[in-house]
Amino acid sequence: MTAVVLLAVVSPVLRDRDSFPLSTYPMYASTRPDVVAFPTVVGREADGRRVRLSLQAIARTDDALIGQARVDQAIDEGRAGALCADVAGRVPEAVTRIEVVTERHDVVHLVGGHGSLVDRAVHATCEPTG
Amino acid sequence: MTGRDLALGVRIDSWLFEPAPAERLAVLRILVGAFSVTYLAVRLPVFLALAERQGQLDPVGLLWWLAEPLSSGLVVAWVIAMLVVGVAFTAGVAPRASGPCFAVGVALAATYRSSWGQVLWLENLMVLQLLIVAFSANADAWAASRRTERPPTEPSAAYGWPVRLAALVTVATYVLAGVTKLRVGGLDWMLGDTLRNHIAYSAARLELFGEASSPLSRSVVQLGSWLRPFAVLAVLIELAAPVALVGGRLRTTWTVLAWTMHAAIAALLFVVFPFPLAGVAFACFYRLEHLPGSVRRLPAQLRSLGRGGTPTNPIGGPASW
Repeated sequence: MTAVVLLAVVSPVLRDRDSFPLSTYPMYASTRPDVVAFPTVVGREADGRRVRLSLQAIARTDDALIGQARVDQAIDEGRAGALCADVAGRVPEAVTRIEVVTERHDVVHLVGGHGSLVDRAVHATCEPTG
Repeated sequence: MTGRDLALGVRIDSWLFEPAPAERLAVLRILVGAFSVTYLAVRLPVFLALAERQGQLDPVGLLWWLAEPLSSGLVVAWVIAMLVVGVAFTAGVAPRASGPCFAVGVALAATYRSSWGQVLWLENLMVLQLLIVAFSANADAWAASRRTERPPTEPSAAYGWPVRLAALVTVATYVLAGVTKLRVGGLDWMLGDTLRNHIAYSAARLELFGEASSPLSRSVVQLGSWLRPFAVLAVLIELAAPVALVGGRLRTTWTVLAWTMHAAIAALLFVVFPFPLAGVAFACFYRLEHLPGSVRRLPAQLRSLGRGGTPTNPIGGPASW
């Protein structure tokens, strides 16, 4: 029985397949470059100023991993417009336009408070409905 | 098979099936059960939000067969029922029913949470330990079902083996995490700037999602290549997890290091692994039958320390604790 349980626990590594609750525990396992693409949703005020939207507004979660996965999935599956429309009802009043974007940043510069944006792709735009 | 192999096999067997008092497994039941119920209660909004979840279902694990999202009513009823059953399991009420129901129920709820395109890794060990404890003879002591007077049970392998199995599984998960880092990231994970970039990445992601990042992360990222020894240390801690099975100071040293690693992850990345951070993940490495007595003696020990006395074993048990 002990051997069966242990074999089950290590089996994801043998099969190279992550699952739950049996896992390869790949969190933070990959090497990470300093320039990274982030799928996210941002707001724009009337004067064009960018407003960072909260995880609750973007994906109704408090977990950044889940929020990122939802935006990523929506872009990959061609549902960026639908995500934009969904977020449109949860943005602050000052926001006049919403954009679903992928931004590439130098993360070390970003955390250091320096200019970090390398490039940016807009997948969908919409207006607030709230 | 050589005589040496046989001797090793006998030693492993005697460690694994060492008779233990029923109290050891019972205390583990109370710790893991109480933690799981508290976790479910604190994360109740997250689990209830699964009832309204929209998007592409990507079922994993035990729910691989699921074709459609579960109905809202079922999800809400399931989560509430788990809270009630969890309290019964922790208290040792109807253990043969409450244990398996709670463990499988929590495993399914957590699996459903990971079935939306992003597997989460915060609940794996809690679910694995819960499954082991729940399907064992965990309520032969410290259980509401034993309030009527019964003679104390004799030490038995039936009480020791599940605790040892939980310890083995815990060690295996840490070793797997270390192996995966080396397999996926290679030596570059330890020798490059990966740790710095992970810290910066987590902070950047929070900021781009309009959330506050750790104030510590900015200073730590500036350390640059000075972080590399900590990357090596993190992998070594994970790969060295088996020393926790040896017991004594090696076990306690490893436990403190592993806990510190989780505390650093929480402080720098704002990613909380609640089960190890609460210490419950490591409880199975200890002779838990001494815990209730230690807790009872704690006020007296603290008073003694306040008077300048010498502390006895801080956890109150014998040296073999």
